[in-house]
Amino acid sequence: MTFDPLSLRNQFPIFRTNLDKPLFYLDNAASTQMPQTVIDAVTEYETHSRANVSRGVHRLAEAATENFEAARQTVARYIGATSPKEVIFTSGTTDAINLVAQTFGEQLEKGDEVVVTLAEHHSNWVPWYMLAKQKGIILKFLPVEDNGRLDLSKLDQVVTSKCRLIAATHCSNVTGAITDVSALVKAAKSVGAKVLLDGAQMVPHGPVDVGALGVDFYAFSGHKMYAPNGIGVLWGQQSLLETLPPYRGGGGMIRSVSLEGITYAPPPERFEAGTPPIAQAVGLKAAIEWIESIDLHEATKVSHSLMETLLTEMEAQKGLRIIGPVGVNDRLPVVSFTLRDAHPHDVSQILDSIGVAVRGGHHCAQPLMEAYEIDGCTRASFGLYNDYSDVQTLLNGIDKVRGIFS
Amino acid sequence: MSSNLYQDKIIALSKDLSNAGRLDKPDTTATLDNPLCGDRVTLDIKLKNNGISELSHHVRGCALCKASAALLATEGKAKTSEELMEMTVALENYFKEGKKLPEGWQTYEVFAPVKDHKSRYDCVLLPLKAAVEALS
Ligand SMILES: Cc1ncc(COP(=O)(O)O)c(C=O)c1O
Repeated sequence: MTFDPLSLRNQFPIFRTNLDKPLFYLDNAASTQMPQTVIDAVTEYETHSRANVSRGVHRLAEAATENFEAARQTVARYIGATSPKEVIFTSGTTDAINLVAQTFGEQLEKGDEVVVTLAEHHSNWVPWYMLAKQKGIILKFLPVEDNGRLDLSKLDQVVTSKCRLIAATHCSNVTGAITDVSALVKAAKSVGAKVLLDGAQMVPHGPVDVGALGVDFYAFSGHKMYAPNGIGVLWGQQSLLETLPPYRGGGGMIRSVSLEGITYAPPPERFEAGTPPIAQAVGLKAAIEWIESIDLHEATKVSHSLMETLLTEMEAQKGLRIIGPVGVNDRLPVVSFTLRDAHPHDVSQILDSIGVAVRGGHHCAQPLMEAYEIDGCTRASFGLYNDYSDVQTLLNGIDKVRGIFS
Repeated sequence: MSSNLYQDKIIALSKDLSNAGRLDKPDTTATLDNPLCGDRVTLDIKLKNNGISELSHHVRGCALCKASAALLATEGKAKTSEELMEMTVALENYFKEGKKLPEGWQTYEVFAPVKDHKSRYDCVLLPLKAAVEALS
């Protein structure tokens, strides 16, 4: 296999349509674009197989169910699940984490502790905060180092014998720092706690192996990995899922309902009340197959080289602060920065004027902003279709910002 | 082009810190957030005859928000709560529908380029909304 970002870019209609100027899309950590093959898979399903799942015997219902379950199998393979039964479809990472907070969390007791890190997206913070308020659980916080990495030297202090769960991101959506999962797992196991990883940023860059990671829950979203939005995944260890109460009530998650009572379906259906996002699951399957068709080893070399160029140029600029680790090791191509005289929203707006799409603000990670004593930052995040032109145009844009605000 | 937003006048206003900071013993104070972007405006206001006699601003936000707060510190002088409320609505309509600004607020036409940038209306409106809140 060879890897050529430009030929990949040609597979994405967004780069050809509706735009009055070229698009330098560097907002992939928020949402990636969709390749034609994913769009086609969704259209094909909606055109020829649309129906509700698991409830009908007619041809279309069978086809829809088949498609939906095939998607579950593809996800299971991509993340190294031992069985598709461990794959729960949700509406996204946020929904997946709330699911854990309300089922696993339901079993926690007053005084139990949950550890989150200061690098979390609000979606892996707020559900735990809400649970803490509801149930009198104590939240503990693992700090970050100045270089954007989790301060693992503090693990001993925050993970006590009362700890029931460590909820941490696999990769920060701000700093791009990849978490040393083994350290978290070791600390958790030593006190019998579980580990939930937020993989929203990690999975778009290639398959993960939940078994090898040694975690208990893993959450991610489709729209950040070239798939439609409205779908995400919670993976959980089967034996653990079986012990959990249901999440939402409704159709599809029961075995039987009568006046005497209700028997719930086994996982994963127990956690999938209501009509699931079927077309979105079909799209997710197509997106995974698309990612798997790429030489990710070569792709990583390219993204590292782009990131290295960008970081080197940035390090030489006065008044520019990189929010994240030095260098490209153990890091995804997510580069956040501040400029001394320009607010991130102004930076993003000026970059937009030359076709560069980045994100400015707190990135739903206000505790991290607070830790670094900044109001916000501007983030450039790379996908598989980015190339040197994106880096160069971004750097030109930063010059332009400096020209306006100096 | 978005960069038209950043005309010299707006940039100059955003850097005008003559009324930035906090007042000693203000008659009223308000802090308002824009939850979408995290911008935050704090206004301290002194009153005379129902109108603003002195206004200081502390802005954590973008150039548009800072420029708007700086302009309010001068243009808001002697304005009453009713006038500020009227202007807040009028400025929104000025952006959205191209309607005229009320008498006495013409200097806000410096923000005309914001009309083309829906997502930035609130940046300019936030200081006015904070003033309305402070006076209500
Ligand atoms: C690290 C991380 N976690 C969680 C989320 C939330 O994902 P979603 O909005 O798809 O639920 C995001 C997305 O912004 C993210 O970057």
